[in-house]
Amino acid sequence: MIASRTDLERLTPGDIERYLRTSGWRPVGDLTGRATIWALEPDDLEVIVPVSSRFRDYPQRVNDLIRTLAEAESRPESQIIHSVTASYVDRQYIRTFPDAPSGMISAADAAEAFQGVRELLIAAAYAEETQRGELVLPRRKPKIVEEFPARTLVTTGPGSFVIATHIELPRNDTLFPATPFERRALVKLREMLLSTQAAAAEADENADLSPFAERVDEGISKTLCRALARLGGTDRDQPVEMRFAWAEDEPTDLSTAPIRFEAEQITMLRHAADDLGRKETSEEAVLHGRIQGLRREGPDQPGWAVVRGQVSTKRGDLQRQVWVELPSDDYDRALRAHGQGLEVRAAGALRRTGRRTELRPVSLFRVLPT
Amino acid sequence: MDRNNHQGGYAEALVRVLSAAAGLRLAKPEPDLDGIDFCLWPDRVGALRGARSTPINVQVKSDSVAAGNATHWHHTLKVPHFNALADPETTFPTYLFLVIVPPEPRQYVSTYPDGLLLRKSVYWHSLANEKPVVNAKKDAKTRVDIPKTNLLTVDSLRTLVNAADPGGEPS
Repeated sequence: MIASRTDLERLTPGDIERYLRTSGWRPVGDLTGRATIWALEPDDLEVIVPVSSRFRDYPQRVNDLIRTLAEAESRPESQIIHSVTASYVDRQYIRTFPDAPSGMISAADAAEAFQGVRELLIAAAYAEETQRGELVLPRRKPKIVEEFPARTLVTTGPGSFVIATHIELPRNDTLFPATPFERRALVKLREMLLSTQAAAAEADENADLSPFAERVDEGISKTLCRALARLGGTDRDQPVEMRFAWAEDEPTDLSTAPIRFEAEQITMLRHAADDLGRKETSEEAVLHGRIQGLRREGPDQPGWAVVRGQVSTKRGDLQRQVWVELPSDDYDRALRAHGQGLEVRAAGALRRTGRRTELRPVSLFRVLPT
Repeated sequence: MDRNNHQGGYAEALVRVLSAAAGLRLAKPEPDLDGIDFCLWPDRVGALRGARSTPINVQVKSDSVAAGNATHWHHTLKVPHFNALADPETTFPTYLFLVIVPPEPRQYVSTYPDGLLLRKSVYWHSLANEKPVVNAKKDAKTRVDIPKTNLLTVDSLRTLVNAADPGGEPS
C-alpha cells in the first residue's frame, strides 16, 4: 500500500514518538534541531522524527519512517499507520521460523501455530484470573478466560513468519483507573514466558523436567508448554521469538526486548507437554543419537549416559534427551564415543517417568562407526 | 518517448551521475509527496556511514532553451513550486538543481574512445532566503535567477551536502 499524504500528515510527532518508545526504540540524538533520531537495537535500525508537522517535507519523512517500521516489524505499512494512531492496543509479535519462504508457512505448521497462539492466551488469562498455579488446566474455565482468544485479533506477516496479536484495552476514563484485565493477562504471560525460558534452558541442560514442575506457581502448565512447542512447527524443532509492544495510553516500564526459545528448548517443551506429571510408562524402544554427557558414582559402577536423538517405538518416532543406564564396560565405550563425537544406538525399555526419559534396562548398546 | 519525459529523465540522470561520482548516497522518495526528486547523504566513515547526518532535498528542473544574462540563468517556476523551494520550514534543506540540456535529444550524449560527454551542465541554487509569493493568480509563474558561478561539480556537490550537517564526521 502507498500511504496517502493525508494519512501521513495525520500522524503527529507526539503520536510517533509515543509509539516508538513503547515498541523498543530509544532516542539517540538529533539532527540540527529539526528532527530526533531513534534507534532500535540490536537490529541497527534508525529512523528520524521531524520535530514539527508543519515542515514541508514532513509527509515524506513520516513515509520513510513508516517504511522502516514496516520492515522492522514485518508488517504492512497500513497496519503500522493504524497502530501509531490506535494508542490503546497491546501487541505481541510471535516470530516463527517454518521451513518456508519468508511470510509463508505450510498449512500443517500454520494450524499448529494458530492453535499455539490460542493456548498461549488461554494459559495467560487462566493464570491471571485464578492466581493459581496448576500443572493441568481444568476443562471448564472461567468465561473471561474462554473469551480472551476470541477478543484477540491476529495478523500475519513475513520475517520469517510473524503472527501479531492485537488486543484492544477497554478505555477507562475514571480518575484512578485500574489496570485492565487484558493488560494484566499479557503482563502475566510475559512473566510466564521468562520463567518458562529459564526452565527450558535448565531442563535442556540436565535432560530433566524438574525445572518446569518447580515453577508451576509461576504459571507454567502443560498447556503453556504445549502452546510454545506448537509454535516450533509440526516437528517441534524450530526456534520461536516473542516480543511485546504495549499500548501507548497504558504506559509501562516493562522491557520490549524479544524473548527467544532455541530449537532445543522447544524440543524440551514438547517433552514437558507430553510427560510432565504423568504416571510412569514403559515400552520397547530403539534410540539413535549422540551422547551429551555422562555420569556415574565410581569407576566400577554402572553409570548413565544422556543421549540426544531420535527414539523409535511402535507408536512412532520422537526427538528426546534420554538417560541410558549402562553397565561399566558399556560406560567406558560410551566415554570414548563421547570424546570422539561418535553416534550411538541403544535399545531397551523406554521409561517415561514424568520427570525424565530413561532407557533401562538396555538390551543393546553400540557405538556407530563414522 | 514524449519530449518532456525524455528531457526530465535525462536531467535526473545527470544529477545521479554527479552524485555517484561524488560518492554520495542517493534516494528517490516514492511516492512523490512533496515534489522532492532526490535526497542526498554523505557516505561517511563509521558503523552507520553517515546515516545520522542530515541529507539535502533536491528538486530537479531542466531547460533546453537557456535564458539568462552574463551572470545568471533565468528559470521560470510555477508559484507553488517556488514557494515550496522558498519555505525554510523543512526537516532537511532543499535545493533547486537546474539542468541545462541541448535543444535536441540526439545532442545529449557524445561518446568518445576515452570518455562520455554529457551535455550540458547542472547549476544549484537555494531559495531559502527568498520570500514566498502571496496572493498569486492561478497558474502564475515567477522567475528565479540562478548564479552561473553555482556550477554543480563533484566538489561543489560534496560541499553542499557536507554543509547541511556541519557537526558531522568528515567523509
